[in-house]
Order: sequence, then structure tokens, then C-alpha cells
Amino acid sequence: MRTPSLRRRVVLWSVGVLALLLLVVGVGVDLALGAVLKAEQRQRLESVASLADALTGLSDQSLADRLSMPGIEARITYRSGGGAVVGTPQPREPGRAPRPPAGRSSAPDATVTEVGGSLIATEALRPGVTLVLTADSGQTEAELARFRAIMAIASAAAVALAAVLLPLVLRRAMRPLGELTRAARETAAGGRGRRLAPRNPASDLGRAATQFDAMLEELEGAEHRAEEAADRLGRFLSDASHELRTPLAAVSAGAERLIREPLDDADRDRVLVQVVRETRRAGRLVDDLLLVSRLGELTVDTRERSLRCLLQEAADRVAPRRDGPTVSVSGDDATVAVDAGRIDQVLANLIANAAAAGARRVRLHAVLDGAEVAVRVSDDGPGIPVAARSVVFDRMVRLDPARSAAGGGAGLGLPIARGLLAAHGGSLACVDPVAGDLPGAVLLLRLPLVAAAEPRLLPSTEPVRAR
Amino acid sequence: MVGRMPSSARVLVVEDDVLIRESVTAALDRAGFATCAVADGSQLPAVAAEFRPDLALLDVTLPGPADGFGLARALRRDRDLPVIFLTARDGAADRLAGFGAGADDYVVKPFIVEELVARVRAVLRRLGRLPATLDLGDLKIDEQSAEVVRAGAGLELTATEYRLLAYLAHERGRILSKTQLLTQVWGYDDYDANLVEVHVSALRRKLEEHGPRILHTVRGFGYVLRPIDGAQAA
Repeated sequence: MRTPSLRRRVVLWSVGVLALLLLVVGVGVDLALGAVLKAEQRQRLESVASLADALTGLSDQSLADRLSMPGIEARITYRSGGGAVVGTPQPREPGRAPRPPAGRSSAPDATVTEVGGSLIATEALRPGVTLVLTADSGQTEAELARFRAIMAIASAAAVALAAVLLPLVLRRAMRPLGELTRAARETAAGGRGRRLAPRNPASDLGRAATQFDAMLEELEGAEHRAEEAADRLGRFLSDASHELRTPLAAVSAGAERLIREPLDDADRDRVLVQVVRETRRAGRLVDDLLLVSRLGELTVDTRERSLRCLLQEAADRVAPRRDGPTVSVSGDDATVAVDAGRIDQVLANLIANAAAAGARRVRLHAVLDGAEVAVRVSDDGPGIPVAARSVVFDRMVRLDPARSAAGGGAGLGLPIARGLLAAHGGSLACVDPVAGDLPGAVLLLRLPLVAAAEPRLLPSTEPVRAR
Repeated sequence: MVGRMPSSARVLVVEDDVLIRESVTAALDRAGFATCAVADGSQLPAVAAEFRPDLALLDVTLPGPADGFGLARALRRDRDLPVIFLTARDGAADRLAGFGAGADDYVVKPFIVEELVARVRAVLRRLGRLPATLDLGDLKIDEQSAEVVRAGAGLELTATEYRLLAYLAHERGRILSKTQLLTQVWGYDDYDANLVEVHVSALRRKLEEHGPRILHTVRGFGYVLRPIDGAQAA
């Protein structure tokens, strides 16, 4: 972008245009004035010539004398062979010129010609005698010259005045530009929230100001979003490290105990089992953290499977665990193209969540729904408040912060489950219970169908009893 | 057991992680405290009323309605009870919240159990609920000023020698292996086991300038501090 001084440019251009206009006007007026003066002169010559017709009974000489007046020179010429010029206005010499005979009235009107810038009127008084009236062009010239001088001085004064006044006027006119610069400078220096708020957004400066505001809005929005993302990442890292600390502290405390105390075999084994369990818990946490950080770019290795088998396997896996909830499977069967391990992980997460919330029963109910199959995972726990139903899918959100140590996980289960389903083209949402659901939390899991397998309602299996 | 600590300060441990709870309780038991451990705060008022603790070790994140901070407030309302928090959260805001809830100390996980025991002692000593002086016959250790006197004569100990002696004194009568001494006195970094021998012999030399040998080597096992009882000395 070329950035010459706008003020200097506007001043120079304005003064230049003004000077040019003044010049054009001056020349025009000069020409017009010249023409007017000339016409006047011609008219005067003609009236003087007609005066000559009126003045009869005068000698040529006195006629010439009478007709000569300021600006007009009268001469009488006599044709003598080659046409010599005779008779110029002279001091009166009476009797010298012969009395012209009458009959001049028949003479034609004067003819006016222009010779070398001077107007010359010639009128035949008598045959061979011609009155020649010459207008003095010097007077017209002098008048024009005076006009030109006045015009030149006035123009110069006008241009000079414009050159002095324009910058002052421009400074005022360019004040909004200064404001824009100030706003930009303040924003660059770290100031936020500054807006120009143009009063007239349709004007040229208004448009610039509107765009400027829009740009600031966009920049500050982007900055804000970046800060929020950094904050979220920071919180995530801090939460992740805290989550890892608890199993690490347990492992450390257990190992210290083994060093410090002579334990009998049974006690030692118990401590060692707990140490291993905590180590694995930390390992799972690390796996989950890695998984959750990669959810966006996850690829799944899918194979066609019976949804019902997947649900039943997940239910069976919970059964032998102490304190595990009772999981029942019911509803339609369907063929889905899934990575069975990942879907099992999703179901295990959902069941573990229900158990962590205090649920004793979990119901997995599949319903065909167009090109999808919907699995309603309901439990008899306290449920999830409506207000919390979207945040539970954020990383590291636990509705009961105390629950982590009790086996509720690090708040990664639901975001992971949702991410894994998304990788399968499915979805996961938290919804209201409907008839048939258990009264607690209901998570609605959707997967695209490959082909509906015999859409028949299977009888509900007997709930798998824990313990 | 030889030379149990005369005072038997009572420590209540509330920690839901079984490994931490048992390890801390065991260490406190060994250090001569009477302990009571529970996994959550649900029965805490009743437990506290019955056990009458001198100090409570509270995990901050606990299952159940009240977290450690809430339990601390409840405990302090009933009785003037010093509290040490165990927590995985170590942000400045978390620490401030802890001290705001009336923490006498704030220990971030993972911690070294022996350090936690030392902090328990320090809090109790500060509050006058534990004698400032360890009395081992002719050897007296003032744990507040870190002064050691044997048979009336002050000993000039280095900081490491002092920590070694204090640990041996707290575990007096027990045979302590080099590994135990190394980890509890120096920590869990990879130190040379010879450090223990070098410092034990230096400490022993200083101790024996003023009396008979009390820091004994048990061949193949480690070291043991056996103070001279008044009765034995006589």
C-alpha cells in the first residue's frame, strides 16, 4: 500500500485544480472581454462613419478633424494613380481643401475590416475620395492588460489562501481518521473492547469504521477463543496430573510400607495386589488420557457384528465383579459395522458410570429407528440433572467430585464414549427417561445399521445377577 | 517392645484409598501413635466422639456428601482438633482453601509416609500435645530446637546425622536395615548405601564420646538404637 501524506496530497491537488480552474476562467473571460471590446469598437467605428454621412458641407480636412477623436484616427485618401494617401487630421487650414460637391448621400455605408489587429473602416465619400477611420487598438489592449493583471493577482491570492486554509480544514475533516489510528494503536498496545461505533455507517469513513469494528470483533473473538482453549488445556493437564497422583500416592505408600515393615505373607500379598491394582488404574488413566486427546483423529477397524451379542457380552463382563450392577439386555437385534473392542469400551464406560453413581440396575434396550439402531442405557441411580446433560460430555467433568477415588474414573468415560461412537458414525446423548426405562440416568446411543436382522422383538433375557 | 513412646497421641485417619490408609496407619502405629482409620466421613462425628483424637488426617476428596474440608469444619466445631489434609490437588487456590478450612498442615500426594509422620509429630509438638523432648535414658533429643544432649553434654551433629539419630530414636529397639535408613533419612533417590555406614560411624563416634555404645550393628540385618534405661544404667 502506498501511503503518501493524505493531507499534503489533498492540499496539492486541490490547489492545483483551483489554479487550473482560475486559469481557464481567466483565459475565457479574457477572450470574451476581448471580443466584446472589439465589437464595441466596430460599433463605434460604424457610428463615426455614419456621422461622416451626416456631416455635410464640411471640407474634407475639417471632416477628418471632426471625426478624429480619442481612439479613432480619421483620414481622407484620394485616389491618384497608385492610390497615394492624402489628408490626415491636421490643425485646421481653412480653404485648403476644395469644397466637396453635394451628392455624397448616395455613397454606400462604411465597410469595416480588420488589419493587423486594428479595425479600419473605409467609406467612399466621393469617387476617388475615401474616408478611412482607424480604431486605435492600443486602448483595448491596455484595458485587457489591466484586466489580466487584476485577474492574475486575484488568482494568486485565491490559490495562496486555499493553500493556507485547506490544511486547517482538512485537519478537521481528517479527525475521524486520527480516531481510527488511535483505536488501532490502543488495540495493538493490548487494549481491548475499543470500538469506533460510527454514527453514519453508510459514509465512506463510516464503512471503514464499521469494517474496522468488525475486524476488532473478529480478532478479539479469536483471541478469546484461543485463550479459552489454552485455559481448557491447562485445566485438563492439571486435572490429569491430579488424577494420576492418587494412584501414584497409593503405589508409593504401599511400596514404602513393604520396605518399612516386616509383614507376614498374607499381608504382603494383599499390599502387593493393591499396588498392582493401583498401577493398572494409573495405566488405564494414562490410556484414557491418550485416547481422549486423540478422539478427533480416531479410526476404527469395523466388522459386522450382532448388536445384541455385543450388549450381552458387555453385560456378562460386569456380572462377576463385586458391587457390579445388574445388567439386563432387551429389545431388537441389528447388524452393525463396528470395532467390537471399542463398542465394548463404550458400554463398559456407561455401565461403570451408572455403578459409580450408585445404580444397582442397568438396562440396555435396543430399538430399530430408521437407518439407525438406538440403544437406551438406563439405570436406577440418581439420574443426571437436565442442566448438566451437555457438560457431562466435556473432559474431566464429574458431577460428584468426590467420586474419582471411589472408582468413578477421571470424568473421561463419557467424552471417550461419545468420541468412539462418533468414530463409528453414531452418537451419544443424555435424554429423559421414557416408559420402560429405569428411572435414573438415560443415555441414548445410536449406531448406523448395516442391515436390520429380522426385525423381531426378542424376549427380554433374564437379568444377569451380580454375585 | 522396648522403649515405646511414653505419650500415646491419638490420630484419626480418614482416607478412602485402602493402600494409603493402611500404610499411613501402620507407620503411625509404629511411631507410637494410637490410630483409628475410616474410609469415609459418614460416621465421623460418632467415631471422633468415641476415639477422641488429638489430630485428624483428612483426605480432601472423599466419597459421600462431605469432602475433607467440610469434615474439618465439622470436627473443629465440635472440638479444637488440629487437622492435616492429604490431597492430590496442589494449586495455590487449593492450598488456600485448605488453610481456609483450618488446616494445620497440607500434604500433597504422593508423599513419603515417614515425612507425613514427621509432620504429624511437628503439629502435635507445636500445639504442646507431644513433648518436645525425646527422652532416651542419658540421651535427650529436643526435636524443636534439634539439640541433642548426652550425659549433660551437647553434641554437635550435622543435619544428616541429626535426622539419622532422630529416626533411629523414634524406631528405637527396632533393627533397621540399611535400605530402610537410606530411604527414610535420605529419601528415595538413588543414593549409595555406603552413605549409611559412613554416617552411622560418625554419629556413633560423637555419641560414644559421652557414654557407652547405644547404636549397635546387627550383622546381616542393619542397625539398632538401644538406649540405656535408668534401670539398666544403675
